[in-house]
Amino acid sequence: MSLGISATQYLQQVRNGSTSVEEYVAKTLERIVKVEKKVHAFISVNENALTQAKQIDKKLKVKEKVGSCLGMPVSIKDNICTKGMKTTCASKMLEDFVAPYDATVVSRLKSQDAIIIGKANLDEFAMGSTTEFSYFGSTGNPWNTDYVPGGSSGGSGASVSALECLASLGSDTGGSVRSPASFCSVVGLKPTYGLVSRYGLVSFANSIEQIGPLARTVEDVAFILNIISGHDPHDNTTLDNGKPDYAKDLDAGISGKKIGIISEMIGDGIDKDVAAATNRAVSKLQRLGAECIPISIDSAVHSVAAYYTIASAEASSNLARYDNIRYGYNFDLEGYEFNAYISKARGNFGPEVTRRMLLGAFVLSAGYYGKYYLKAQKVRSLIKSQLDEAFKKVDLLVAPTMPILPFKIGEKIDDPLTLYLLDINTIIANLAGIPAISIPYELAHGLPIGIQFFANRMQEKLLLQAAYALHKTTNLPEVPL
Amino acid sequence: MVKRQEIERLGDLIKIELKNPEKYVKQVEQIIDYFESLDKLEISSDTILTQELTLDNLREDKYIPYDEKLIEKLKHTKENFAKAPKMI
Amino acid sequence: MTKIGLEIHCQLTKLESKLFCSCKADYRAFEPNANICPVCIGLPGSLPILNQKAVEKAAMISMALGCTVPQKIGFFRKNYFYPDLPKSFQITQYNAYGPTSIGYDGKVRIEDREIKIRRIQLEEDPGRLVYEGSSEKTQVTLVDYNRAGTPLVEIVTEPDFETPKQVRLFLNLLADLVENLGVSDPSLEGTLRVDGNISIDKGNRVEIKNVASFRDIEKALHFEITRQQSLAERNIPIPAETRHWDEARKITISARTKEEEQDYRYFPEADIPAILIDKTVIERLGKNMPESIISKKERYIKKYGIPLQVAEVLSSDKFYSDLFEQSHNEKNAKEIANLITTDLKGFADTKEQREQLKLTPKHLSDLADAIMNNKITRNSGKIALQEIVKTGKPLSEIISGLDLGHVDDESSLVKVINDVFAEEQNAVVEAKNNPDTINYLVGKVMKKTKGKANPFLTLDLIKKKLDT
Repeated sequence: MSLGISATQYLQQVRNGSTSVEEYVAKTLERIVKVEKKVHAFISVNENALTQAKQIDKKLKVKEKVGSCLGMPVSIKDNICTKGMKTTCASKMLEDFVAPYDATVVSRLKSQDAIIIGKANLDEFAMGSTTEFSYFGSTGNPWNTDYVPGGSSGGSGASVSALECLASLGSDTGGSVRSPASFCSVVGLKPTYGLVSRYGLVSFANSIEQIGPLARTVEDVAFILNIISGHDPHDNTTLDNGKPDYAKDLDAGISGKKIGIISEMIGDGIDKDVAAATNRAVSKLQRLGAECIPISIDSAVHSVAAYYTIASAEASSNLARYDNIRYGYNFDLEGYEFNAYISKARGNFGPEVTRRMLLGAFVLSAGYYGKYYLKAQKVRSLIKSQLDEAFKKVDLLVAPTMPILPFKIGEKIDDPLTLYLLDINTIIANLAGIPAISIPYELAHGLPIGIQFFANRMQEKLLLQAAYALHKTTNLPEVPL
Repeated sequence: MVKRQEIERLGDLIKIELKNPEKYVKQVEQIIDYFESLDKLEISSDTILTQELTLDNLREDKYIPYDEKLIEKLKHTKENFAKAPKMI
Repeated sequence: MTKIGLEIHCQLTKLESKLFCSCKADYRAFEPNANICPVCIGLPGSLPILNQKAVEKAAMISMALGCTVPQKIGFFRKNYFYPDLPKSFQITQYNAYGPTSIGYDGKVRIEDREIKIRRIQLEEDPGRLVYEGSSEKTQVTLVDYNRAGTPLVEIVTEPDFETPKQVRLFLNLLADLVENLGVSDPSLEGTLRVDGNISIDKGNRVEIKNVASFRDIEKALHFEITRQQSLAERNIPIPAETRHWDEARKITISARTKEEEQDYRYFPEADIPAILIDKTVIERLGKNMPESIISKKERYIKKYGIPLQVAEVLSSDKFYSDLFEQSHNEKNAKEIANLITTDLKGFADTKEQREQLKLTPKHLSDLADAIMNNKITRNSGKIALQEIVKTGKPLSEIISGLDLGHVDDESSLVKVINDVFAEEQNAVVEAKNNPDTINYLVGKVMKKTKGKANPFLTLDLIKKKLDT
């Protein structure tokens, strides 16, 4: 039995009896023990996983009803609440925090009998693009563990890529699901804003972020999306999607579809290997029957500035509740005055989180609101309307997910602005609230390159079909770890 | 020009004790300068993206007691109260 | 020239649940921290869910105060750090970027002045703090989150008040209004909180906070006006500041915290979408609003001929006007109104007394009818009423039990009259000569019959006897 199967293949194997849940989960736990020293994808591992696996096997044996996940081991980014297991957000400020409730997405997975195998590493409070800002240490890219796995959901990407789980839930605010998907050579989807409940996702930029699935195939991602998506009464920003089956008609193909290549995302500044791979992907799409034309989204050049203005502003407010009074780390409050205590405690945020909160406070300060924040929101509207215009001409948009190849851990950590600019290809989807997906496409010097599709709001079916069609043509080697 | 004074003011505004404010001065300034590109943009439209809900799609006014004793799960407590540092 | 403006916070105590979660809106009966959930204590990952009725009730308050309700409302975050604020921000409303709060540009008449309402906004209450410990080392703040998230309506007026009396009249009107609308119970402690701002002769504005009760606001304003005037007389400039009302010493004291300098970094609350309130919804809310106090008063006067004073008292008391509505018909309305305002309110005016009232609408209508049909005298009626309030027994039982019925029986009356005539021979002579003094004899008969004698019959019989 190979660990490197897809989630869909796992379900088939459990159904036809060729593997038991216990067998697969035990092997998964062995794998975790074996590779974690180099990968460090997990902050915590579920000690009860094997017990839960055995229980599911028991139910299957007596033909009792078992949820559609059939004990599939799934990792959950550690900024998504899991009852009874720690949710640290990779921060000292939540070092001891155990949520008393499950996030909606977690309870939906659990009710389908998925097994939460562990909590995945991330940049502290999801702020970062490389997972280097985790309080618990960075994660290594399974393709070369000296290299970054992308971020902020680096642990999600790495755990799926390193065969430590079959799927993962990450969160995507500026590209944080797609960046690790691209760098770790797995599939990662950011759904339409409002499609997936944020109840239980520790807020960072609440007008922008979405929880998204990562897995090894598009089919797996569609399967997970079916379970986690849909209206939630616990989240006022969720939409009613009419409960479609995202996994149905995945192989419909893209013949006759019009696909726009975003010119601003394949210009100067892009790595030449990435550019070449993108051109090959476009040719492939044409051979599959799609018509590919260049499309300009010129407001995209302002997307990074607009995003970081808005996201920092929201972060400075969303993280204000972390004062170490109700939850946090051990720091006795006797003898301290209120402001002194909380300022001291909050001095334990990492440098990136601190930086963003300072920026956020700045742009929202009296007198600056119109200059930065309001302007950024207008740019956001402009980007959305340009994308709406584009989607009148084409069905989908395509671009490389990341403008460069994965780089060495520590290489860019002292240059925050350079790191921000890595999000240039992913951010427009977050600002406009439209869905986007990254699929593994090629390797260059042993390092993964991902291709990204965008579709208009609520067009996940179309998006998944295009991703499926292109991914099917790839033939990538197994992860070398 | 972002000065150290500004960084300290911001640090106080969001209640973060900055052990080394100098470190942030240059970085914050660099990023704010980058944000200036937004200020130069001429955008005529006043529309800002917002989600919308109609009034009849909101939560029913019903009392549902929470089924767990949450106060026991908080970090600093005294009898049934949450404990916080003293106020001056 | 004095200018006073008000900022009033009114809890919507009649709602079932809090503004953004399903914990109870009225927190008063709970042990500390027994009315909380992940949302109202701001646990990581929790999200606010807006209460539909809260928006509707706030819209009604806005309409009752003459405000415009916009077709789209939004929420904002007010960011600051305080132990009673679990998220370190309050979800509130803010009109600096266009009118998005639940009401704006309203007006109310007080005496002959028009008081403009600048805005009305819906927001959440923070928790409550208790301070403990004597020594520097052991001092802590204890937090009770039961109140955190309770729905509040904030009403901000323009500085259109000229006198503290006008302020008091306005506040009374407001208390009656919210009670009449069924959104709030102003008798509960802490339901209505008032801050005032005041300036004299175009001078600096001083804010007065921390006034615990309505009575005190008038005192605080009087004190502050006097204080400012005495400074002005001595040509001392009045600093713009925030002052707190010291309840014990009955003075205002300068507060060291410079509240006006706080940078709250307001920005839109993205967890709550903009709420669309279209014209038809506003119309429907308006139609379903309980009748206003003014309208009730006018109806009582016009339709039933109820005197102005009685109508005023009755219309502004929700409990009794409801009772009136349930018990009256066209014929006995005036009598019932009278019974309520003259007698009943005297027996049962406190909250507990009203709650324990055993009287039903049927009692009232039976009693009014009995009085109007001369079955019992008004005096006996008062006694009967007291008994009903206590026991709830049917009127007929009480009349017979206490022997309150009119003595209608001519023969018994004649006997009593004969007794009186025998005892009051001088008065009889007077009455024969001066008909105006007959009432003295009637009074004696009433006294002997403990007020039960049918007064008309008694008068008649006495007259007859005098003529013989």
